[in-house]
Amino acid sequence: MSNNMSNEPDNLDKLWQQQQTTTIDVKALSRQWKLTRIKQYMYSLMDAMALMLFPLVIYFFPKELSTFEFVWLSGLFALMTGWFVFIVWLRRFSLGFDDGGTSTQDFVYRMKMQYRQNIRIAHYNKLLCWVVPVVFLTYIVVAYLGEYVSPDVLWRKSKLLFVTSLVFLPATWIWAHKREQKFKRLLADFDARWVA
Amino acid sequence: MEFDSIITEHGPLLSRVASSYEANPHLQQELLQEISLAVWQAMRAFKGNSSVKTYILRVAHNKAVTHVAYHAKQPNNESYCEIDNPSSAIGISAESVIDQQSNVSDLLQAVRRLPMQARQIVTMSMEGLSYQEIAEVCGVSSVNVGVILNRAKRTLMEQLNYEQ
Repeated sequence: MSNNMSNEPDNLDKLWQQQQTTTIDVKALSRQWKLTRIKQYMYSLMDAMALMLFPLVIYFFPKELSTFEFVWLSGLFALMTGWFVFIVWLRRFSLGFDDGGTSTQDFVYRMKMQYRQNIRIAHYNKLLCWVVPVVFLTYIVVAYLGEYVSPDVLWRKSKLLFVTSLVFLPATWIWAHKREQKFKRLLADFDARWVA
Repeated sequence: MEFDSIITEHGPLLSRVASSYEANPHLQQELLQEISLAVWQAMRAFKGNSSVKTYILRVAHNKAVTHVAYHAKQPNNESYCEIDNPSSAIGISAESVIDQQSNVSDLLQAVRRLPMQARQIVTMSMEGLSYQEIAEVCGVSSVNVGVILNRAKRTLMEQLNYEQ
């Protein structure tokens, strides 16, 4: 670097302005923006569908449900609603983000909070993978002992619940575990990088 | 204010923010897209409480912080970081252009070595923001901005002198 440049801090500003810049493709940006919005709508729709599954089953198949199953599904719907409210509460830091009105110091604080909440959400999802088989087993045992469902139908449903538990729950547990580890690592790295 | 005109006026500024956080050109391009999207989204909420430039810089730096957080384990591949001919260099001799490229490259590398907050403050200062404006963006006092800025500029000068 030339001496006249290195001796004058103000020349740093001029040098900074001389760096080559990349042109922003507004059309590509517009496409990406539309795609992002579609994705956000899809995620919201999936969340809503997961929650609405129980009332939809109750509404469309009332004749195929015994009183016990109606009560069981209604109870699960109430629990799931509570679960979703809890998850939204945990995500309150990320949902309320306002990039423009937030100073970087507040933003960094919120990022750390978001990581911690994501770790908690992943951890609770792992716990849920152990709770769901217990819920399934309780249903089968109570339905069998109380004779609320015919043995043939109960056997068919038991097989379905067993396959669900065997395939989807381990996959969900592994996914949640990886997310938990990922956010723990990201939080540690972020803490180390951000020297306030 | 139309987004196209904002991009036309402040696009180079956003590009420089991206380059101060990311050396790898592919990730730099990705970051610039993320920043531009964030600015697009945030402009709807702009109430005119600060200048457009200050507001955009706040959005851009917060988005860059998120990028750094999510790409913490990505390799910071300096070997891909090459500065092409700056547009202002047209008409200048080849030797001057090479010298300028080298200086800009050294400055960028030195800036990326600074701690995050110091990096943010020094780049906003080089973009012409006042102490008060920088303080508002960063959420620290103007006095702190002055202290951190002086320290950061001294570090930059030392590193650039050392590297010559």
